[in-house]
Amino acid sequence: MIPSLPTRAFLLSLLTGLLAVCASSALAQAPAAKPEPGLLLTHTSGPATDTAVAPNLWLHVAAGQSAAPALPAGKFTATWTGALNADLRGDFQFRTEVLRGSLKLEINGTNIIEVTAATTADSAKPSAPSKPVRLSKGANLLKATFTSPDSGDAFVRVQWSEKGILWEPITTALLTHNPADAALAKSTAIRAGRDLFLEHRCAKCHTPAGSPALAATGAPELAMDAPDLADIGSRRHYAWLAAWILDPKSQRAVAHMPRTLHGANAPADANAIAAFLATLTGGPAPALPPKADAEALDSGNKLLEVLHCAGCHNLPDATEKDAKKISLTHLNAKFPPPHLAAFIKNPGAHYAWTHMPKFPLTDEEAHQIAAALSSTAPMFKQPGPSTDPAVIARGQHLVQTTGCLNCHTLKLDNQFKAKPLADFAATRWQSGCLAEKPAADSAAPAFAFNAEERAALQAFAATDRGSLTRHAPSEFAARQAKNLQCASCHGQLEGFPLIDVLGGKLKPEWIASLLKGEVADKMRPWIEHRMPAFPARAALLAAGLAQTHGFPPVTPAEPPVKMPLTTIGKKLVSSDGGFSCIACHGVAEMAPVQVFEAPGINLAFSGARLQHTWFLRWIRNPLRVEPTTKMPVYFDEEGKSPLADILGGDADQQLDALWQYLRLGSKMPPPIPPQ
Amino acid sequence: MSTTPRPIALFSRRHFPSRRHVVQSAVLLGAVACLAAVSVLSAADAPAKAAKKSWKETKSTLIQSDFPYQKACIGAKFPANNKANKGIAMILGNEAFMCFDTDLLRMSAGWTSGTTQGKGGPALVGFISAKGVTFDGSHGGHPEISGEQKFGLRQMPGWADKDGSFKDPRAEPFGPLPRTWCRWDGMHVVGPDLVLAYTVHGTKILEQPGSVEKDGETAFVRTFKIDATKTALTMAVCEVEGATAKADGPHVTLTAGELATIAALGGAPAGVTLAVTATNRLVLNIPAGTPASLFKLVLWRGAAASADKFAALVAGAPAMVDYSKGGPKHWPEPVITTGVLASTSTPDGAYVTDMLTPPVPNPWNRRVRFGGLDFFSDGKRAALSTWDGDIWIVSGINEKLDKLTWTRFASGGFETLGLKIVDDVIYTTGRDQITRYLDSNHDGEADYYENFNNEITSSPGFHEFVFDLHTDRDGNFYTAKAGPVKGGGRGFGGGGGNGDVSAHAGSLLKIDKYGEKLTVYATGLRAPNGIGVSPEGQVTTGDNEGTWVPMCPINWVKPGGFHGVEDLAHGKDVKSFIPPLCWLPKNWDNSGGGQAWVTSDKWGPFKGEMLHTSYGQSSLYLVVKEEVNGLMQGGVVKFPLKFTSSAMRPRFNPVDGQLYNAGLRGWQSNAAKEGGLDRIRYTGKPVQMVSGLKVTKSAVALTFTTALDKAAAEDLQNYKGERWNYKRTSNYGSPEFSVADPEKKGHDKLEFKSAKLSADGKTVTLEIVGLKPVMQQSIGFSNLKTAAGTTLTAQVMHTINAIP
Repeated sequence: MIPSLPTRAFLLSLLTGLLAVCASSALAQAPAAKPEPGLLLTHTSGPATDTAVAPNLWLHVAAGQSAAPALPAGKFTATWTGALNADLRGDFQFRTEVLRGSLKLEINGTNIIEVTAATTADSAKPSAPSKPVRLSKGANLLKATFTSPDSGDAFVRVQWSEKGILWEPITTALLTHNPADAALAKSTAIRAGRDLFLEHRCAKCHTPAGSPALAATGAPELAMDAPDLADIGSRRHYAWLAAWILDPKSQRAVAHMPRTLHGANAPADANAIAAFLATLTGGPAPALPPKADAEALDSGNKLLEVLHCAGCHNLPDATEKDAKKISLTHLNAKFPPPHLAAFIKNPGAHYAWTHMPKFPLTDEEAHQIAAALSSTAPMFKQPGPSTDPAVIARGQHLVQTTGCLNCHTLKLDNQFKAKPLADFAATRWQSGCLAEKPAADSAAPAFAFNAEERAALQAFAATDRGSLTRHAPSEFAARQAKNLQCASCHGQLEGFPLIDVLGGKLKPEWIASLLKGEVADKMRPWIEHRMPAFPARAALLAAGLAQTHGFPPVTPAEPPVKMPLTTIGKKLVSSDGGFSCIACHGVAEMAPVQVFEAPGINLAFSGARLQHTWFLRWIRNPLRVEPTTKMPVYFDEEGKSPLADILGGDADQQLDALWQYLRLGSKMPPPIPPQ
Repeated sequence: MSTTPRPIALFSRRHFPSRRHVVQSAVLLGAVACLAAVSVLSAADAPAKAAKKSWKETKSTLIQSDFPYQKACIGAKFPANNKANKGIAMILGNEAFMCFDTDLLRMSAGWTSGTTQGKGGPALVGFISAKGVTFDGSHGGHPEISGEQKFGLRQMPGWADKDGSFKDPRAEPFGPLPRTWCRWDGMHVVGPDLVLAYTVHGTKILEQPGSVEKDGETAFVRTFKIDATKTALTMAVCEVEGATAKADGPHVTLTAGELATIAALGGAPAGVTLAVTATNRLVLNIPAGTPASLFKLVLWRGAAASADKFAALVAGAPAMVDYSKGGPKHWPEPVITTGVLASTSTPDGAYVTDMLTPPVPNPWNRRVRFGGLDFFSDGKRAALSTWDGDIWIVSGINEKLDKLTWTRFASGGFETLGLKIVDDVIYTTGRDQITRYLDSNHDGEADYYENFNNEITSSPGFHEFVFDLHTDRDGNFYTAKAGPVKGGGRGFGGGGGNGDVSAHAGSLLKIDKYGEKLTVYATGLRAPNGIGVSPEGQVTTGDNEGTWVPMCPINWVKPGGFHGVEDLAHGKDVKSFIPPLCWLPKNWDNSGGGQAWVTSDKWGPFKGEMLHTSYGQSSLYLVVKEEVNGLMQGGVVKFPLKFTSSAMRPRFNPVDGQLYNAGLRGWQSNAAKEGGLDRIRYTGKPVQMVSGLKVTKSAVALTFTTALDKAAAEDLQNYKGERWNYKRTSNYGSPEFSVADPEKKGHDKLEFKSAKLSADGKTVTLEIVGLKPVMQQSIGFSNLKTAAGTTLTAQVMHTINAIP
């Protein structure tokens, strides 16, 4: 995967490494370090170059897109380097599964495949397999170079096979790179700086050239909003607003909002702003929560587990606090009771790009969660705001003049102006907002960036900053997956698919529907947890995940369903001469017959959910895809079907028949169970 | 053979002529009933349509209607909780049915076909529903009587003890009554008729269940043939809740509301009487000293207003079918199939599979899911039992397999998942008993289904499979009973369709060669679908991952040993258990089958070795093993062959010396077909395989069947290995945990220090860094070369219980 926003510690180590490398003038040769997962991927376009970590030999750059934010759109080369770590000496073949562009693959310095546009008749068909290449046990040096076509989409997915029968992506876990690579360190620093710039909404004040239209075509985060202030006086307590405005980081260590008030007057100013905001009342009043009895609290506590709230939060009664998680001890200070439930139910109501997921919850459930949280969080005395009109007027004036309205929307004239981004040469990125120690009289907003963050921002500043004008979907997906902490569930919770595989498994249209909250059915009803929605990011995240795996952002239309084959497909899933899929899988309205510790997803969802190639791999050998699955392996190592009497035993035809049947979705006629 | 199954009606006409006639008249009655019902519901044209078919044609084909009985746990509608745990649901003609409970020797219920409201309108239903894992596949539940119940007797002894009491003496409500009280002997099958044989207080009793129909009324007829009685015998006939009793001459009437239950005897000797006890229980009294006699008991229930029709139903002398010469064949048609030679082969070509094509389709639409296999002494014929309760005999087993003749030998069994032939007599194991089958008229069909031993306990649980049947050198039998796993897979028992933990749940059982005594041989098994007994008498089992079974084991059974599954028959809170010979990860064996010992010297270099099968992965393994510090340990190497269905019942043919495997597909198996039979034939080519494994202080030594090339064998590039542990908990199975970091999921890679080839070139000793006891260790190799130059790639999966 493209590197996500690195942790500070990791970034620090990278920068330290980089400095050490610079100091010894040994840029050419990166020091050896313990290999890490993924391959180095260097994109080059003219003089522009960028190095990142990619999971595998996959790539998809749509026409007009940039391969990486650092590169302009247009022709580029992509070079993967690293090691392929075989667990045993063996002979393998390689090929491209799909290719638009040209690819050269070298292993241990030997050319393995060299495929060009001229040699691939159909970009959607596999290339001829390479000759078997002997891999040594342990690390084998791998280098692959992709050159994009002159125009149009550029893509490639590489596969390997031990016997030339079952083709699959190179096992991702076997690919490693040297994390101490100097070019990677350099690009990572720039990338981190850019991410900080975007996440902290720097562009809301220091607008890049081309704003605001840029938000539609450049980095999607340029369009990120901040919580709107409509009716904020009803939705939040005055005292908490005042404390937050005075120093956001004192309330939340990872707050992005800067401290904008300084000097001796700051507390009074904060109170004045909060007093003004407290006058902004109104809006639909949420229903008062029902009295929280013991049963409701139990339900609420259960829901906290079901929704895995502790994946991102330190719950109020948590005994161990994780500094990276947002604490919830302040809830009673911040939320008037009915508004906590309203926020839990629809966190994006006043803040579309909130990190907080939107779970499918009933009003009652939201109240139960709110009650459970509120019952364990400390209670606060809520002092009332000043009602002095002069104070309120001063608060309003401050809101209009200190930059609040550059990020927060409110129907009020914004009288704050900052200089555009172009006015700040890299040398100036060490003062003002970015000063290590703000001057005593500085009026600049204080973000409290640490040394590594400032270094990253300076590395970004030193670029032409054109990357802000570009959107690379794979990188966006990686950033957001990190920011939204997808891996807190997809990677930690039992029975969850790993976030790393989803882009190659699920169709982007399906992921988008899921992330928009449009999929009402639960895929795995046996898992209590619920999949939340992230509506603002849904479409972009879905496309980015697909492209990371070398799939197009829009799944190409398939030819119409071959109806005659669906009848055979139905027989194949039946227990009457078929694979008996119905033992564990439901089919549309028909429940599974013999679920025995191995419930499967209803087959009616498969056609819409699954990438066709993933479906083929999965059915051929589910254990190779997911070693802990309970799904049996039916096809043998030669790829042969055990059912010799259906379609002549031809595995490809049987898989096609299954697929055609699955494509009928909710209209799949269920196979007749034994009677 | 023809692919069109012969309609059941043809068979019925030929063999049940009188019944066919009566069935049709009953259908007419059904039509009248339906008309009445529908006229109330709607004016639709459903009645004629619905009444056209008998229950035989309209009900599912999973329960056969052309054989006189089906054994199962059978639920009745009343009295409450009236389940016959070991029930024989019997077709009596005249659309009448009864169920006999062989644990309690009681007739649990009698019923006739009736109407039910189906999707297409009222439908005639009869006999039993196809509910249950064997039939419609559902997890939980069992067949229920289908139609209109006429009488019932609650779960209680069918015959009183010596003092005339019906008090249930059993410690738990499962298993048979004490032998000193009574014994279920078996059943004669004569065409459509049955004669039940049992002994009560030393008196032999034969009973033919039947029916009679006159003037639209149907009665149940129980015809008894008894030896002279030494003691007084009392049989409970039925109980009628809330009834008032009245004796009217020879008729005893129990009236409850509008309904009258009337019973009478026909041809009974003096002193044999019917009586009603205070609990509205109808009993049959047979005094001591009653001479050997033949008489009948007629039982009817109907509208009190129709009571005057009863007398005609009792008319006629009692008669019992002549069972001494068997009866006409039920299944005269053989099914001929052609085998397929060398359908798959090991890479070295030393072993091939030959498919013995199963009898599918067949004229009776029977599902053929093999659960038991053994050979007759001629080696040309084998008998196979099926999950559905049939026994098939296949003949024509020879080199070519070009004409395999399949005939049906027996039917109606209660999940007969094990079969053994002793002295050319077939024995099967099932949920209810070990059955011995006798063919007294030598027509190729069993006519006496003898109870060899029925001491095994059985509750209504759907998962109480009784697996596999073997004998040791002394002739003792061994079979294994699964625990009553709950629907869904976790935990055991709890009542209802999940059943209860009864005395033998999860036990390995031993029955002496005469069938006199059943003993618990070992405990702590979950669902051991397959066992083995070595020529020396060593018993082994597989098992199935689940509660307390972290992953599938191969158990080296110790008499009296506890093999790990808590919460079952042995009691609770046992924290130590005998570690298995080895564990096998899911992709090697997610559900174990049986074991076989190579007794043949015609089967390559493995004589004396042990083989294991995987039902879940449809695979055959060589077991490589050793004893260290008094504990067995070892692992398996796969024979890369494919089978028609799962691998479950491996057996050697005593004549051709080759291995055969029978299997079925239930769930959690990648088996291709519902049932299959294959021969695993040694071709005579050199075998290139691992044949031994030994653990030393710091190394694992692998022995091969053939000498290896030294350079390749000592090149560490050619070896890979991993190790991991499981956690034994009440969860279903276990994740895989790192050895170095026991809380972390995953495997640790093995670091090999050296590979040394022995002087004879056959043993590679792999020195492993930090070798230690571990539940699972895999060692893979590729590109090894035999001295002859062929390459060798394979994997060994093993367990280290102890380092010597």
